[in-house]
Amino acid sequence: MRIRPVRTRSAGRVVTIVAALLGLLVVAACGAAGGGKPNNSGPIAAIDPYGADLATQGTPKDGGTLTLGMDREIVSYDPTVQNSNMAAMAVYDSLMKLTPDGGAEPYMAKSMTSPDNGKTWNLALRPEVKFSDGTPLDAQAVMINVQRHIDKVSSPAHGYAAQIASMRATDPYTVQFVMKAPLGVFPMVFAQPITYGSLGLIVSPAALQQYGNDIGRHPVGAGPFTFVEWVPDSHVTFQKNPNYWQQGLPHLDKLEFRPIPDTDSRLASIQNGDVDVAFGGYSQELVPALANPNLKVYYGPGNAGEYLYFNFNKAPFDDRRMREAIIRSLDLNALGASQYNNRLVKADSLYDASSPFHTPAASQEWPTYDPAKAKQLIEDYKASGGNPTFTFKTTTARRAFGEFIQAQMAAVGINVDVQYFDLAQFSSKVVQSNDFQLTTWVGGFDSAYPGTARLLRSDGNTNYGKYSNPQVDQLLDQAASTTDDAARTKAYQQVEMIAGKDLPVAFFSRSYLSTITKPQVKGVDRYTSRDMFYANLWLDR
Amino acid sequence: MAEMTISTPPTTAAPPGEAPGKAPRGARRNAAVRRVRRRLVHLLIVLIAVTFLSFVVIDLLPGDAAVVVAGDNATPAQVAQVRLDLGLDRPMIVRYIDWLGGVVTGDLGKSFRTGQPVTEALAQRIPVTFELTIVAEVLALLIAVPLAIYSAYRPGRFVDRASMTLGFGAAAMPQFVFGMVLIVLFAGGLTSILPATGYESFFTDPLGNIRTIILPCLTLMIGEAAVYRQLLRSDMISTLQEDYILMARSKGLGPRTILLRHALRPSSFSLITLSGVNIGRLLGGTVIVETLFAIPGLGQMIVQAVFNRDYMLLQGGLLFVAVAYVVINMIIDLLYLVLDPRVRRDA
Repeated sequence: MRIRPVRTRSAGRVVTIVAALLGLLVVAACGAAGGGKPNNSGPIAAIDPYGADLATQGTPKDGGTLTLGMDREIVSYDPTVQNSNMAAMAVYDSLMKLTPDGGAEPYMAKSMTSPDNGKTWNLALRPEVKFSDGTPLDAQAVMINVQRHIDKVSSPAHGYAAQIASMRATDPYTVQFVMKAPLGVFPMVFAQPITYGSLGLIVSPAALQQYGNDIGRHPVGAGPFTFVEWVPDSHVTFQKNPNYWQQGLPHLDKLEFRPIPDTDSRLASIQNGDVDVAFGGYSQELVPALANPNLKVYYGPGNAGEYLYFNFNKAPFDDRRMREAIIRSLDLNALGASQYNNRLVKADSLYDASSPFHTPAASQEWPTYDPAKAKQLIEDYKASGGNPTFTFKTTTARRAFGEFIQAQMAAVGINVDVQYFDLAQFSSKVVQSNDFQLTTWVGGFDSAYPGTARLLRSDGNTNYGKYSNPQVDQLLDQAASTTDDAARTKAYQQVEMIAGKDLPVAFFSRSYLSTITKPQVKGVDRYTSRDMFYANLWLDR
Repeated sequence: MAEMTISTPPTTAAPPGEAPGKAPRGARRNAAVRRVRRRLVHLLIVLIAVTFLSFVVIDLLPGDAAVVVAGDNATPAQVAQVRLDLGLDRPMIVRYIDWLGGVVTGDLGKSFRTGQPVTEALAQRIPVTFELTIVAEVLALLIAVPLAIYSAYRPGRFVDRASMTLGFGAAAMPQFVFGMVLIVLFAGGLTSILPATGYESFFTDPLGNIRTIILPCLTLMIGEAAVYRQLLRSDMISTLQEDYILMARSKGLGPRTILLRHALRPSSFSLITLSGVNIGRLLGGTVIVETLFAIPGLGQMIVQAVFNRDYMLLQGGLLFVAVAYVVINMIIDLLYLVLDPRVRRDA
């Protein structure tokens, strides 16, 4: 045996070969992870925003398990707790359902009518609807649930419930609500997704009795599936509800939801077939999914979307000239090229073009990219004694966007200080405390009520910039109170027009909430917020 | 963290030149008992310091759990209500003492966000992270130790140079990049043999469990294996230059006996220390791998708890990590007793 001292001879050849191999590996990885080039260009167009056309999808097959990847972990199944929960609809269904034309229609409820133009509402229930524990979903059950939203100030639906003056059961399956003031849009609040607060998700009163405040972890509803188990950050499973109120539904035996918070991993999981459905949140997964022939995408841009809040209580954005200057100095083509794979869905109005409340005139009113005009507005503002410099605050996830704002503002002669915050800090110390001049937000919504009032009414709970226009408040109240659809449409159209003049926020993009599925997933029925109705889903395997 | 007490002067008289493994049983037990006792005191101090500091730090961070729980759409009145519901209006020190009181009685509280009892959350996540850590460490050692021994035996030859180059390459690559490379190679890119995300429990689906942990464990293991190989190789090389190895060779012992029986044991101290430290570190720190592969482990829980200002969950997680860290180092410390007779005398 020979034991030799350490040798320092160059390992040149091996190093070269191994380095080359590693390099190839990395190049291959980057190429594949990037997902290749998009199959078409320009702004991402809406694709089946409300789901598939069930009539054209063939005869449904029964059975099978569907695995769904969510972009975040669920907080609670309690409808009085604020959170984004894609699985809640599987266990609860919804009394009413939003329609693409901006209204709401009965779903689990039989009807919802007002005999007196919105002052009184009669909600009729279907006697055949039972909770999965066998107890009836009757007038008492609805009133117990609505009362929870009234009592709990922190419920996201408290704002709706607080408008109820009284409620009573006129018969075992009818609830009569008397409103404090006429509310024509009242049926809409029984159709909202859980994120915006909804009175239409009904929990079994027997389960409420049994679990108390722990109901958020033991949901019992009348939806197409019943809750089996929840292991946080791992999975939550549901099985078919054999006593579901819609005969012959649901088609699937089992649903499994998995939180996959990392965007790249979520995309890899749907491409790899680990999940059958992925709830996407960003253009980074939507664009490659569109280009992949083995994936089906559902997407609707929704209203509002991604925008900048101007603070109306602070200089310089209390001055309209400076708000217009910001909008005119943002080159959205450059933004799209650098951060949205050239597929930015530009926003130049409050409502998306597909909305009945949108008018082309509002888009024409909206300022376009014009740095020369922006400079002139800034000079005007300076001449009148204003100081146009400001601080831009955003989240650590938006560093590229912060740099973009900085560069665009430099081009029109403003030095911007950019500050980054983690999410909890950003929400509380920046946005909710009104401690900013200009900041970012993502706030898409499906239905004009309550989304518009939240954003633009003087007391709206996401009106973080404190925009206030009495005329807008009045129009919004009109739109909410009337039962006349034409009058409501007109009021919302006027609001959109005024927003185009006042510039309460700087819209720049719609949102990218999408549902990405394997092609064999059929019967998709959804809102543009991604919330799904699960009864009609089936697997073509 | 681990104490290398080998060099401390011996205090108990023991026959010099005693062969390894032949110390009087009583002496070895006493040494062990003393070490465990010292470690337990150590543990208590570490626990109080870690949990109190994290309480203070979380309290100083801007933004609180109430804001996160109430959500972005909440009004200030709603946030205030949630703060009251969660008891966050009480002074920090009161909340800490309250929490400490709970710990003594085995009640770690409930997560602010989900309402899940912290003990239940820990029971779900500890086995997952434990499995990842142990499998990754064992794999790393299984690969590193033979490579290191062979590389020390034939330094500068092909195996040595190739494993060193590959090892440096792997150790230099950030974990998430290596993880993405594995996903592209095996889970949806070039091939689709393994799942990209998800985790199955071994007890419900053993095969599924193995399939789901392969990529995460490879990702975790690769950097460790490279470092272990390097460490053991250089320790082995210096051991092999000792006189007693020459002696063994002159007695005519074969290379296998010399390498495995005479050189490996005295060369493995740094390796054992480091792998102990690594196990402790990984138990709370596999967060990148857990996020990338969507695995419900402890690291992800702790990081999410920080982002959500979920004090209760965070405290529970840190408590476990601190206990595990100290206990593992205690085990390593006891292993020295087995490996080196000189350590026994000192305690």
